[in-house]
Amino acid sequence: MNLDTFVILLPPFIVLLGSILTLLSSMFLSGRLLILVALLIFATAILSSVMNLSTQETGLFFSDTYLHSSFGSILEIFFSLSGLIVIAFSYFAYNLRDQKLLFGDYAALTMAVLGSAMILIHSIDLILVFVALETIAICQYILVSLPRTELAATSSIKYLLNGAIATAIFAFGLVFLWGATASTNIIEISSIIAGLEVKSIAVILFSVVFMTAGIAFKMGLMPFHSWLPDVYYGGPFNIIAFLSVVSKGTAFVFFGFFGLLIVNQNINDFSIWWSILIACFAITSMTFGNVAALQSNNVKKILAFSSIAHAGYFAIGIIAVLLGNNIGLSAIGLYFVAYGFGNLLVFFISALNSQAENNFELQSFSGLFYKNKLLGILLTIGLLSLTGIPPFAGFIGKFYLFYSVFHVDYWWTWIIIIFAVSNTVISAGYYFRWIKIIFSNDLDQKIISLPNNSAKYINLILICLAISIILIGIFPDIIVSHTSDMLSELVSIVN
Amino acid sequence: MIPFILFIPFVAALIIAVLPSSLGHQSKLLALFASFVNLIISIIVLFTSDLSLGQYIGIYEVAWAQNLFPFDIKFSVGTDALALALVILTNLLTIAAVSISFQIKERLYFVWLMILQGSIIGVFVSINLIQFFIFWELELIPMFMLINFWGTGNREYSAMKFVLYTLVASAFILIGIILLGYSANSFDIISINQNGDLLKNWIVVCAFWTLLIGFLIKLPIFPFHTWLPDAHTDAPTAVSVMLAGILLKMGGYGIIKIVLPTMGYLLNEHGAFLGFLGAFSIIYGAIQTLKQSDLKRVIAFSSISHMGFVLVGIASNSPLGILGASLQLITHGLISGLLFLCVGLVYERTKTREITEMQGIVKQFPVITLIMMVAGLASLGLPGLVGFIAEITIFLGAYDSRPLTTIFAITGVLFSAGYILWTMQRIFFGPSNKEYDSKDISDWPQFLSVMTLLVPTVIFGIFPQPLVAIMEHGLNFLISIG
Repeated sequence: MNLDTFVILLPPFIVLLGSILTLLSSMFLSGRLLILVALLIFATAILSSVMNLSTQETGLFFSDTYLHSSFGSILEIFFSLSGLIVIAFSYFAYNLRDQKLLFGDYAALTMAVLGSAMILIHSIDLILVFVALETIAICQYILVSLPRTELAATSSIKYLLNGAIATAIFAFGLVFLWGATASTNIIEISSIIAGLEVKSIAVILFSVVFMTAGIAFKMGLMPFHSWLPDVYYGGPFNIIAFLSVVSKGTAFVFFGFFGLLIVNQNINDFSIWWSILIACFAITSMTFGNVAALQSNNVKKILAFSSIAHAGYFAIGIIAVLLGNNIGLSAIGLYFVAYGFGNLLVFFISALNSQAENNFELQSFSGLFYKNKLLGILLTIGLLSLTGIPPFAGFIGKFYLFYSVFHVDYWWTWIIIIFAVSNTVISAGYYFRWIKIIFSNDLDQKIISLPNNSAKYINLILICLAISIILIGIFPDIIVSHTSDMLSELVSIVN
Repeated sequence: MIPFILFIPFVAALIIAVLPSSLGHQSKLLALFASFVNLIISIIVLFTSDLSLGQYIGIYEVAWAQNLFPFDIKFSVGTDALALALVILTNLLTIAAVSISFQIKERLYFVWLMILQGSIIGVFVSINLIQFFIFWELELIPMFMLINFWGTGNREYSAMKFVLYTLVASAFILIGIILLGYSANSFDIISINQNGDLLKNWIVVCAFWTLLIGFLIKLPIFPFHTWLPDAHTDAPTAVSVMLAGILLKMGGYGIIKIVLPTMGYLLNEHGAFLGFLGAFSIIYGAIQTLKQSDLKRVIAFSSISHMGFVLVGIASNSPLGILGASLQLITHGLISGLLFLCVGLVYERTKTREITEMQGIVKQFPVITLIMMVAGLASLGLPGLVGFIAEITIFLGAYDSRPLTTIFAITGVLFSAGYILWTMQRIFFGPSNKEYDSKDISDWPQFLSVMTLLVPTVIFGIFPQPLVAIMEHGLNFLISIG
């Protein structure tokens, strides 16, 4: 091992060190300089990811604990980008003193989450996985409590208590996996499982069920979702936007990755039972999330329930991976980007609207189109994309997920598709109701004005998000052409 | 040429959307101009290309998504005789729809109308199932907006109902497309059609039913029809024209173009059932019309009845029946469009659509009465008008294979004669009980909109040969598949 090897660690390190730097410098730097520092940190991180992508060899590093692949590098770039978007938006859109949000703390914690997420998606050792997951979780508990209101504190405590249980369950499963295979390396575990006889699979299945439960908590899948609506209700929009996109997406990409490595296209009873388990989770969370969202009138609740439903869609990709169809991971990647951008757009505009209207009811959106044409149109684009209406990215993401999971030999994949497609129809119920409210002509029209000096930056961020939604929707190849090559590369590294 | 036909409406929508506000009132003229240009281009394509082989012509392909699926997906547009005829019909109806709504001030209305036109044309010119589905779904957004914001009465309920029913149909079609693409290893309609023999397993059976149900909801056929009367009642006139005239035809087009070539043997197997369903739909729709008091609902149920003929023709398993079905797509497009135009004109003047509140308005509005009588007679299948050709072809085709169903369906014609004449009689004739302020058709946009549909209705009624020839060309692809 030489010093060159450490270059592959640069992106997460830059972000993690940047987190500390931001925290320290927030003591004596003003907000304007702080946002420049954040910009600089993310720009360097993206630069080093791009550099790694083009120059560094892919493979296993650091005693086989760290898998450097171009798939990971692309995800790093996406993480950096979304972190940049969220931080920049919060800076420009929030009157930070009124919201009692300390910008330095906020930026530092966000960066810490992102840095750990970058490590998580590279790690193939269970210990490293655990550490990364925990760092993400702890930072998020603090993030939710940042506004220092009673509501936020309650949400944060709720999140912490539930999260601690989930972590314990995850660790429990992890220990069993280690006990059964005497290894913490995912690739080794995978080869051991492939060589096992059918009888001895039970203990592994047992441990994997526990690990699945632990991760499903982070993803907000149905039986482990109960923290999600409350946390979303308590947290400010910019933080829950971050939670719903980055932390959820990370958990899914990691889990897909984990499934891909463990199963490694050897379909046996183990992976089939595992996939059936996740199929149950997926179906229940889709149905529950959408039906619950249909009945709420509060924007935050709708978004929380819809994010539970979207977790169900994500899980479809994992099922595809477990059944040996590796394009499932590529579909998760595409849907991650599509859902991420759409969700950020909807959350941001909801944040702006709730600032202007000072409530979170759906009715506060009435006549948004007439109050601010741009916001109305962009929010409509975001909602249509989340529904899965072409030509927006959400459609092609969903289509790709459904296509990837379809498998002739396994009948439950059919049931998943039927449920997923019917749920798209149910979700249209509340998304279109929202669109209808946006365009309903309200008589007392007041203009929603963005904060004066930063309106152009906010508009720029929002328009960029909308354009990328449309671009990815029409040209999904931008994302997929990379991911599918990388998947085959990934598989060749592992084998 | 085909990409132009597809993109002109979208470009027009974009231009109308960004017009400076001083030119905002020109948006309707711009929309009308764009539709005219599109109509002329599509007619030029009709005359300059050789459609007789039944193959796609003017195919234009662009690499689109190489890595998404195990096989390439191209953005490919092209047309054949059937699709081209429907594109021309779309353009005619758009001209009618734009010019009937000249009194509407908001430019957004015309933006949505143009997007609607573009997405319908997209459905007809797509040679790729994903692209087909994208345009199929895209049509939903303008329809929702148009019904929700420019409709009348219970418009919000109807708009939502329309969206949800259409999404249910799309959900079925989406599953069908996934299954079909999976088993044929391609989403390209041409190549799926070519390896039709490979496709005989139970996945295809599932694909058949999901696709068929999706298309039947759109058509709509009896148990799935409930969205149509509501959407029609509350939609603005122009949207009713588009909905009855061309949106319903997407269902029939889908069956003829996607289900029939690949899974025709399944259609034959279940032909007796489907034919009966079609015939039942004819009778059911016709009986329902007798119960309606709202003029728009009468026409809406008569649409359901007439779309039943399409299913009877397709399920007849004979070339003549399928030819009749595709003729019915065009003729019903013209006739129902014309009927809804007249209903809109009557409504504009009398401010009511309740049949019981109108009487003897022929004295005040003789021209509207004349036009609506022509449309009504065409609708009941009077020889000499365009509706007759399609229905007689369907009956001739269907009688050989399914005589009982056909006889059952023919009674529907009696019903339709009954309800149309009875409705006309109640509205237009008898002693007039009210004086209306407004005049008969006098301004040119309304005249234009009526004429665009009336002229083909009469011409093709007297001289149907060109239309029949085009449709025969359009169905040649079925012969090559066998």
